[in-house]
Amino acid sequence: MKTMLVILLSAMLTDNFVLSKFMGICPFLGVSKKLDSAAGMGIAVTFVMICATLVTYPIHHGILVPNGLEYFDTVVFILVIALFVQLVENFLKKCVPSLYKSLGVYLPLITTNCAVLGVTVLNIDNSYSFVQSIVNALGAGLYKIPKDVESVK
Amino acid sequence: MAENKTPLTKELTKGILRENPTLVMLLGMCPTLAVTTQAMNGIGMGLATTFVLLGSNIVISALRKVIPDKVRIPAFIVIIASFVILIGFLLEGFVPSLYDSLGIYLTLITVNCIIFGRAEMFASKNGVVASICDAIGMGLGFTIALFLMGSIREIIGSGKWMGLEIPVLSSNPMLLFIMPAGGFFTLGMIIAAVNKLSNKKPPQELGCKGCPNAEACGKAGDCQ
Repeated sequence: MKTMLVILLSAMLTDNFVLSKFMGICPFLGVSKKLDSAAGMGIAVTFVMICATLVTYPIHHGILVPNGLEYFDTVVFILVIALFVQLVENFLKKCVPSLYKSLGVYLPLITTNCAVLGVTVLNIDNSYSFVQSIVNALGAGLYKIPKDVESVK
Repeated sequence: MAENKTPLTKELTKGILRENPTLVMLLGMCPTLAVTTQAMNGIGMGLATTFVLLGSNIVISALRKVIPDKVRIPAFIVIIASFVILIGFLLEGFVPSLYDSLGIYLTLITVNCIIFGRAEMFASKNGVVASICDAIGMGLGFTIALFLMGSIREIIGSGKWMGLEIPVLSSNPMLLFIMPAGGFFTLGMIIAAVNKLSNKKPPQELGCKGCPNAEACGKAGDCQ
């Protein structure tokens, strides 16, 4: 439990993905003009991060490692991320069209947001367990909402 | 193709200053800020990115008529990621120290907007030779920008340059420049200098007419 808390807090604060690792700067500068689009973007990225972690972790440990294909990580991960971004896009288009409009081109660009690929690769590099990975993804995502909101003020 | 001669040199040189991917088009910010704590890392990152850009531009421009338009984005990403895996192996084998200091940012070349941007804007519409020139030009522009950032941050922040000690600065380094905040600051200053050099003037008209934020503000700012 204590490790979980440490991972969560360090991903949110001390190792903040935007401000200390410089990942995901483009949408950070691009959509943080308005409060609701900033929060919407933060939530969308967090969702994609968690889903991507949920899928990439079993793929890495269940399929790639037993077959000695670890170096395929990058290709497989990016395809999984692209899939989930498409999912979020379709969902927002149907259910929250106003948010969909205000996010504009930055929504498909979540695919190339380095924070998302970064978090999935870091989970593997730091050899976190499955649950730790999810907590890390959650923390890394949560940073984004308050930070985006702050930069609006 | 004789008529292509002038454009080719143009493709090569445009990336260096006029359309510099980092300093003018503001693409690929995350490696720019993250790895430039040392000049050497900046060069390494720049050259690794140039390699991937060159490879992906060649393959994508050669396959541009084969790849269907609807699935071009996944296709491009897979091509780019393959070259990233390749450069990862090469660096790990031959320059392990650079491999260690670039760390996760090496993998993240996959999602560098510069590479994807060039694939979408240039390689998918132009021939192989033009794409090679474009990749070399853009890659050099990126490398120069990273080298510049790295040099400034290393000299001021740690009083060294490419491993050489600099007399006065090395006794009082300004640590701020090595830290993230210094990265943002240096980048801002360099972009300001580039804008000045390329004579990009801010809008002259005062009031809402010349204001870039007029639409968002809706005359709420009380300016004339």
